[in-house]
Amino acid sequence: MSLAIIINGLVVGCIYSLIALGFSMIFKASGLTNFAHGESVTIGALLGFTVLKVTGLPFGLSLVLVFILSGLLGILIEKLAYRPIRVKNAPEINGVISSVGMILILANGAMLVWGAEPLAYPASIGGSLFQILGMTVSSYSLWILAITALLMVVLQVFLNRTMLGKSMRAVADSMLLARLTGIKVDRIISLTFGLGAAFGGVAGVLFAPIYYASFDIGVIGLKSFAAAILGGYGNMAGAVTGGLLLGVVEAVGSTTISSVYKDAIAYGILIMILLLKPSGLFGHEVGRRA
Amino acid sequence: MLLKLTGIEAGYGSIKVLHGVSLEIHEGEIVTLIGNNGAGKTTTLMALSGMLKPRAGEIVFDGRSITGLAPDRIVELGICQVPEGRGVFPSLTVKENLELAAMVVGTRLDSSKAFDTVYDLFPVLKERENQRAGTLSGGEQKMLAIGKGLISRPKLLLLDEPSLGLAPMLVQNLFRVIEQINQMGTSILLVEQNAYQALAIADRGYVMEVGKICAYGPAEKLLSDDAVRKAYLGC
Ligand SMILES: Nc1ncnc2c1ncn2[C@@H]1O[C@H](COP(=O)(O)OP(=O)(O)OP(=O)(O)O)[C@@H](O)[C@H]1O
Ligand SMILES: [Mg+2]
Repeated sequence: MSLAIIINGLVVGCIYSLIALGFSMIFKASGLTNFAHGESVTIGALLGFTVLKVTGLPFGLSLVLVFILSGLLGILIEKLAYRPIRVKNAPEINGVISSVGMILILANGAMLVWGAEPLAYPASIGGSLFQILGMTVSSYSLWILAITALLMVVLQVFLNRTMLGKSMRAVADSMLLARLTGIKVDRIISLTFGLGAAFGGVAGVLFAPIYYASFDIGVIGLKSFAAAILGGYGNMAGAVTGGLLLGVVEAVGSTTISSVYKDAIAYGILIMILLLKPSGLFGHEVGRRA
Repeated sequence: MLLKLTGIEAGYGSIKVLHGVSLEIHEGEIVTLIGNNGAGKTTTLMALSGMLKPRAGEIVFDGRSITGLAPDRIVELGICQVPEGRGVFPSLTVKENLELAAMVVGTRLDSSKAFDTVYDLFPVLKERENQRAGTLSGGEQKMLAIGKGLISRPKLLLLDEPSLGLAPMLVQNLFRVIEQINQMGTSILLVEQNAYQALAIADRGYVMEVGKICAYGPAEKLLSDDAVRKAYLGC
């Protein structure tokens, strides 16, 4: 098996990781699963397409712009779909319904705005191919690896070194205690949704050049959700590891066995790992709260 | 008058727990609130902290009505609650726990001095500064919770059963620390199961029964009241 396959797997794994981080982050802070998180990937990819086409900004700056715009969208989604449910203390299942409603609205909204046809990013972004260690790699693959690594470092620094990041961790530990401490919990949760969506949006822009942008690419969210669970839901390191692992397993499986069974292999491994370690790779073994 | 509750009614959903609670705290006092399990002591504190919106009644703090304000506003105004249990963020370090509590009052604070005050009171916290709070012992976590409540220099500190689960020797220590905090100028509302010791350090006390205040007065008077002794002091 060649190293190139592993690298390809890692590249797709980076995308899963970025999306999985959003899922885990939101879950950790609010206790909610934002099933509509995949739609931030869709909107990000489509926004990226428009930004590149209309403004002609360089790819890096477009990424930053999409990061911000997707973040704002995440904040809006939280306000519309989740806050009312959280504030009124409604049953959790209502949040799921609300999520599903958001998926429909966002995916269909995206189709109205950008149409149903897949949109291809400018070919120049794909970068050039070159040889290292006897493999052919595209420079764009390396960019994905580098940008993902950078984002992870920035996230770590943000969570551990800034007061806002520390407040997020505090809210994730205990919402009640955070309130009593005087932290503006609603603002922090809203920011977490924003940050999660920003990561999703960036993942969309990174993903589109190796795939395409379209109203229905949000299904990648489902696999990333699986990756987040695989790593241990709510755990940041777990989300990253789960994403990378899923990417590599998928790539190796589809070349050694058959690409037709790509998804079956990925989910098969997922189920196997969860049978062995139900709380995920980085999860703690905890019972249900009594 | 620092704090005045008048006819507070509050509860959870359709359950009414407080049926008109009235209570006062003067500046510089230690006031204790005692009563049986389920009487509504924690609920009273939650209403005071803005975690529960009172359905009726008024809360006046430092000359202004704070009824219905959000918890973060109430903390800013100078009321801090140390809740039941361990009251710390387990995955944050000791220092981060204190930083967050200090941050919410922002510039009102000379923060290095505030840290010194807490570390002087609880030297062990200084030693454990960079350790995750979740790895501290139960007693150490309690100290951190109190330090966290203290660091923003609130005018009023609400303590919900701070002695619960502590070894007898630590309880002695704790009550001494509470007196020390009070001497530094912080008024205290102390909810306790340990009624005897609470009354021993308090200026005044209130006794609560099923959502109502049923007796109150100077601490030494409650200590010698026959009905109170029977019901809460076990003698
Ligand atoms: N979150 C809640 N939802 C519904 N009912 C509650 C809730 N919290 C408390 N109660 C009820 O309110 C009543 C008063 O509870 P509260 O916690 O204020 O009592 P307490 O005096 O603090 O008791 P303890 O000494 O055991 O801490 C109890 O009957 C309790 O069952
Ligand atoms: Mg209580």
